[in-house]
Amino acid sequence: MQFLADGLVAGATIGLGAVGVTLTYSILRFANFAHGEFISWGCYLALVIAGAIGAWSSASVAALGALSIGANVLAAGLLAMALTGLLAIGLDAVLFRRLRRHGGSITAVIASFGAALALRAALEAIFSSRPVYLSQELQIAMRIGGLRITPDQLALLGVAALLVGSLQLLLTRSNAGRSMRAVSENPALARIVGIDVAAVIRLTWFIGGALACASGVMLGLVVQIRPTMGAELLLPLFAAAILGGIGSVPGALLGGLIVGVAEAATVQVIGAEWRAAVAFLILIAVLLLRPSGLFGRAA
Amino acid sequence: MHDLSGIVAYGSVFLSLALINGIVCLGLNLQWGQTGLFNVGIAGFVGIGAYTSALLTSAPADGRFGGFGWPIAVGLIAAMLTSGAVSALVGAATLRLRADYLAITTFGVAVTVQLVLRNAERVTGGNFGVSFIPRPFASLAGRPALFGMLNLVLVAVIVVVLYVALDRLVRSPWGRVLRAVREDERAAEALGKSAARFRLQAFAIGGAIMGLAGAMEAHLIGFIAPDNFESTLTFQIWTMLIIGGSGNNLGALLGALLVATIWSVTGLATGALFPPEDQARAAALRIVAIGVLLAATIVLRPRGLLGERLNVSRHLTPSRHR
Amino acid sequence: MSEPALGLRIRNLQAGYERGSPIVRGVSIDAKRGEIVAILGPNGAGKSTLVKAIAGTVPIDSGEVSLDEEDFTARPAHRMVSGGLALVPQTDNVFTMLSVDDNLRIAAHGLSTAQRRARFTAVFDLFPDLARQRGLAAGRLSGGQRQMLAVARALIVVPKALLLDEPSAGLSPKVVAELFAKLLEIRATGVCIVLVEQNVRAALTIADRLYVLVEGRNRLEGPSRDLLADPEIAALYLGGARRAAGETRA
Repeated sequence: MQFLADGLVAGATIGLGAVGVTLTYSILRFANFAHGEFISWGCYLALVIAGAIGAWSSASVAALGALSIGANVLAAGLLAMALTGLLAIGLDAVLFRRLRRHGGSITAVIASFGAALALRAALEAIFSSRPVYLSQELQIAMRIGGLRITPDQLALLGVAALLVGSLQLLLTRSNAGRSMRAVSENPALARIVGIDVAAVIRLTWFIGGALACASGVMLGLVVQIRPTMGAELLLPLFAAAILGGIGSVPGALLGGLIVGVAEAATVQVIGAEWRAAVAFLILIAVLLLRPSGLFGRAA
Repeated sequence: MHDLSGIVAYGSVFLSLALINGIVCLGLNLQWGQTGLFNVGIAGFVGIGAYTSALLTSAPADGRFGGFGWPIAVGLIAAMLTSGAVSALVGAATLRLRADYLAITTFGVAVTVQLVLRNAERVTGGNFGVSFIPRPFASLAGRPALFGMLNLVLVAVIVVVLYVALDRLVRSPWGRVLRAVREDERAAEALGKSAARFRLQAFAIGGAIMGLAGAMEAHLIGFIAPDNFESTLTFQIWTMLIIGGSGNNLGALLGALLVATIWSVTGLATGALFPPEDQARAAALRIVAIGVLLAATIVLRPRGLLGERLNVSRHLTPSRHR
Repeated sequence: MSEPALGLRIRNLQAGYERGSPIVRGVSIDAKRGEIVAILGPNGAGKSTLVKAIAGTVPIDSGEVSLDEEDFTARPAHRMVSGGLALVPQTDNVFTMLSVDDNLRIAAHGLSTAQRRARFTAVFDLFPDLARQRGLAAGRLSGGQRQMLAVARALIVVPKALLLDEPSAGLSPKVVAELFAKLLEIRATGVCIVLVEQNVRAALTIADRLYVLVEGRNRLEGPSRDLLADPEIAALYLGGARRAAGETRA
């Protein structure tokens, strides 16, 4: 049942991205079509930084333990997460912040669509569409219970769980998290009770961008790195976020896992070409049967 | 460009394509400008129309469905029917949901249509596309200038007919109800008009128009492939509508012309300035330029060149607090 | 001899949702510390807009707002609380999806842990029912309890001025009486309270001074005892608003 491990890892990748989408959706109140590009940009940034670190210190390239990557990739990943977070804040400052004053959510969505294409094309212009890889080593799968899983996959699942768990703690126990939940429900009241809504918005973008980068690095460890890699994930991201219920972080991760496993099962049973249709079918099913998703507030 | 005939041929094809894109804009304007429905999957509906007409009118091809060799006019009508029908289905499922969800769903439709076009080889020809699609005035293909001009006239006539028809539709009682539904849904419902039904009809008609445009392009070029119907197309159409001015049919056509011109001019420029191995990356730069143009227009002049204020009914802006 | 101007001072305030069409057209209000001031007036007089403008959520065209002699006119809305000015809005005044505890903790962001605990104790002393419901989502509270929570939240940072926009709206007379009794206790701690009310009868039970606004301007003002006997107030509320609007403004 190798496909289950593949599906879970793909699902965790989708889930991390979906968490970012659900956060921006519930706090900024629009569907950000540029989120896929944060994923791609995050991965490329990690790639470039890992290469730079590796060039500076050849020891850092050595694989760590049973993993297939070296310290350079890990360090690069962390740094790239911060940079992608800043990229997201920057995009907001240049584009979405101005729209909040005048337009509704729809102008923001159109603008995000335009920004997405510009960001994707910028990657193509800079890196061209030549596929690259973060890690070239093949791994042997281990057996855990009835599951066949490689060390890389195990580590990735652990990292995803850690990131999402930390975020959930942040949201429920910290001042920043409470502020985010407050702004998500009622920005006007949040202002009245003394919350700096602009700062909360910047934090939301940062977290969303950072998680998208993590998702991108995970993806880059599994598939070819191409400028369109994040955009191809966009439909599964939205499906996962809506399945989980907009605004629910655990829901987004769970939704991602469900979509990932469903896709992997489809590849197993029907064939790889039809994988992308699974997300669409899940989306339609959710919208027809229970639009508020698993954990979302009923509309 | 060697001689006048070449220029005329090129120019008429360029204008024809620009006008065909304008037709898509007209369909989008009905959905968005008149009814406030947010379609982010335009490429999918255009593609459905294109493939419908192509498969029905072209000559048979081995191992692939279609090729009935039907007349072009039949193909165009069939294209409108299938695109309209799919739009109606999508609309029935999702119009009652919030606007963002319609955007995501239509986006999903476009992705799925792409998927089907690429993978259902027995039906669509897969990545190879459909070739030898019959072209109007085909007997004159050997004389490019005349051929181009005649096709341009045909496209222009269809645009005019469509423009007039849409204008009358908007002014008709049906159009008035649609406007009422957009402005104040509850009041319209109190008068006994089912808002959902009118929105669905507008969405379906808009989708049918997009399908028509797709079919027209198929017959103009004579060849289509899944690559023609990617999200770049959706994005270009939105750019055209927003720059020209949404809510305004004339603005839609003007925007189409303007963006098509910018696209062509930048294409000529990158073709001349960049070496062949960099052409793909240069094309990417053009997309960046259009993306920035779209974003800048939305931020600096949301009403576009000719349009009214970016029309959004109260029900579509849940984020606004009084 | 000038008195210490502690308290809320509004001078010639013009404000409205859109610049150029003000709803508040030159209103002046004084509310001293330890005083309850009620702002009355017919619908559309601009009472709600006035408190929102003071709290910074409606743009101010001209005029001044000062609290304890510190200028608040240009202060951004989210910095009002830290300056000591707390608003309890009329509707949507608690976060229904957050627990009672979280609603209060949000208000306590700037405080140290010790300060927070002290304030929570003080607030729960005043509103013992809320203490029992700390873990409950605010959306599950009754209307009256939500109002108490909204007021409790406003008190967490020890405000100098407390503004309430129609706090009695939608509440039963018994609950209104309970709420207003709490306001009296709060007044005793030296807070200046400004109360916008449609429920004139209830407002008159606790207000020290009254202002009556008509069409965005001051119409009447004075100690509530004096105005209670005034027939013009009765006239304003028994259909006399039309007549009052026709009269020349002072």
